[in-house]
Amino acid sequence: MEHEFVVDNKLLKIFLEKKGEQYVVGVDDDQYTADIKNLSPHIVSLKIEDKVYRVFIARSDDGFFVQCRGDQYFIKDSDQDESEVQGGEERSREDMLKIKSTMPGKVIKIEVSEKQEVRVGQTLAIVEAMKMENEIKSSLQGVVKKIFASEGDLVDSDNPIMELEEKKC
Amino acid sequence: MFEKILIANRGEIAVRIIRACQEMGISTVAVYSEADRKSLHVQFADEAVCIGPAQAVDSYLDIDNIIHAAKEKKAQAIHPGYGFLAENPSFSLRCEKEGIVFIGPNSRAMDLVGDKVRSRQTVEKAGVPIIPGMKCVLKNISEYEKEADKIGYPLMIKASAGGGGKGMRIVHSHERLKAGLEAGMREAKSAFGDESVYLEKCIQEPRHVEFQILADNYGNIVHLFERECSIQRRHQKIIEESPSQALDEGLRDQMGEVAKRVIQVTGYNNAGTVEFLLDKDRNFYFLEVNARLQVEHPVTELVTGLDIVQHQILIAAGKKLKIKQSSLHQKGHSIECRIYAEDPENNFLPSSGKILFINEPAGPGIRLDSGIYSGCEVPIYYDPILSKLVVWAENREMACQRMVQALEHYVILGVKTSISFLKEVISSPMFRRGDTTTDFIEKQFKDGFALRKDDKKREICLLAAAFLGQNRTYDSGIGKKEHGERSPWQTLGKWRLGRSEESGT
Repeated sequence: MEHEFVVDNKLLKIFLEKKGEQYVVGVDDDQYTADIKNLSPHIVSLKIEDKVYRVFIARSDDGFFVQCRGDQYFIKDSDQDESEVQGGEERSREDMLKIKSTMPGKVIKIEVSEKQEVRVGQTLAIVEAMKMENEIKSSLQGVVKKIFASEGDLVDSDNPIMELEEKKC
Repeated sequence: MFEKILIANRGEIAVRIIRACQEMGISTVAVYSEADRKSLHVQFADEAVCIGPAQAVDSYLDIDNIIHAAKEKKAQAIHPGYGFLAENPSFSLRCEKEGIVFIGPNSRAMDLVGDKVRSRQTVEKAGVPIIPGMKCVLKNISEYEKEADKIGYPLMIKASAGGGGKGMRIVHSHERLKAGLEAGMREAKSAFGDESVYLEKCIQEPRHVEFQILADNYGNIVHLFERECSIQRRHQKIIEESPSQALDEGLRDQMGEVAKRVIQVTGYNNAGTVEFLLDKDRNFYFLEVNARLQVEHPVTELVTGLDIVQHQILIAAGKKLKIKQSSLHQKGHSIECRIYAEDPENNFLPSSGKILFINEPAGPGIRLDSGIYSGCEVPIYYDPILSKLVVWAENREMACQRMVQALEHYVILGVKTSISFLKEVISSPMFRRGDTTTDFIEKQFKDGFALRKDDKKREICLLAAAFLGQNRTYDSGIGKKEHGERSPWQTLGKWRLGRSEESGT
């Protein structure tokens, strides 16, 4: 069975098929057999030739958190992420116009007003979470189109605080 | 001795204090906000009382609610932990008035050392060296500007009521002062409810060295040697160790005696910490007294063999300190790493959510003070500290090796943590050399932090995910959205049957 995952924005394929007590693994052009066992709901033990690996794993909504010998990965189910992996350039431009908090928190200060021109690196708003203030800066030159949040509002990382309009110069 | 103590805190430190109480046969009352109903400290205590909604201002900072809980549960004493109300003199005063013992310094001493300006004046009179800076809090920005020009740049803005780096900023030029002051005041207001700030000369490339003190109610004072806490990020300590590589026997004795003098002239009792900055020419300057049990107290416990929390409780109960300075020794080396819920690869932004799975390191010389468990939620409302990993070994080199291994074996899945970053710091040649100054992180990671990852390990991780995707026998469903069960077609990831021509089989 072939699996497709997205790791660090890269699409990766791995082939896995049970053969007797073992598994046949195909990665890129490489093929080998592995002894894979579930030791507990979150621990998978792998043996490849005589090398052993203990892997810790937990499923989340859209993928797996996995850790092996100190390295941790978030392995995303690929079907959820197709649009982001491909037309990245277009989307990111659009994303840059929608100003969102990078984490859930409270809006401490809105530094701009609607219709105001902003430059790259200008602070747009300050959001506080876990007692730390974080400045949200503009990554492009433009005009503030609409402000959705006010000072004191709780915001998440999905809904924009404000929207910018690009201004060509 | 007390029969019942209320712990006015949450997370790992509440658990740590409850452990000490249990060992001493004292029963415990935990308090919690609505966001902490399922937190570890609540489950550890004998009794637990909800003291309000998630926002700390309405719960962990609400004096009335906490006093009410203590009276209702007939607790004879309150341990405040660190943060929240730990250094709030009106809280300790209120405890005194209500006939509840506050496990910490008396309110007068706390008031004095908590006022950074007044405390500096007091210790300066006793001959303790201090950093050049403002002696009073000013009213408006232009007064600050004048004062700043006198002190010279770069300078520090610090919260009068502060600690832990909150409200603290470096300003490099006159132009940046106003913005820095405004931000500093806002952070001070939000963290401590008091927006007053002061300015101070910034000593460059210093080490942060502090002395742990125990003082009973009868004037007996001992110091438990130093901790070096130079590894800081955004002025927040992240790694602490004892002993410091910068001290020799002579300097250690000298600083220890000065620390004891600070405690004496400020009328301080119970456990406390005297913080110094040490410059490269071995000059040291008094910074402040931390009037609380500190986050990093375990490193001192491991090198001295003492239980600081138990001593706090004994002192608060009016017992005499039996330890003599001459009988105290530092043995071996201890290092602590603070494990925060933050994303080192994304500018250390706080990370909140559900912890799906934890595997804790264990073995000789490893101590873990933790406030989390598999399945718990990390709320957004509080400090993002999850736990503290502390190691002890015969010497510094061995302690570093032990820490790297312990970090590698510490697994927290579900929220981002600083573990990988800490491992990188401890492994760095600069840290190994003991070349630790407070600008270590800025120097070492000036271009940010990108994890070096191993392709083989990534492949193994993919393999495990694929395996779990097609063998769902052990899937417990933990971490799934509560609404809407997903079908196997959604959860398996994208796969196709019989694509033999592409995979080459």
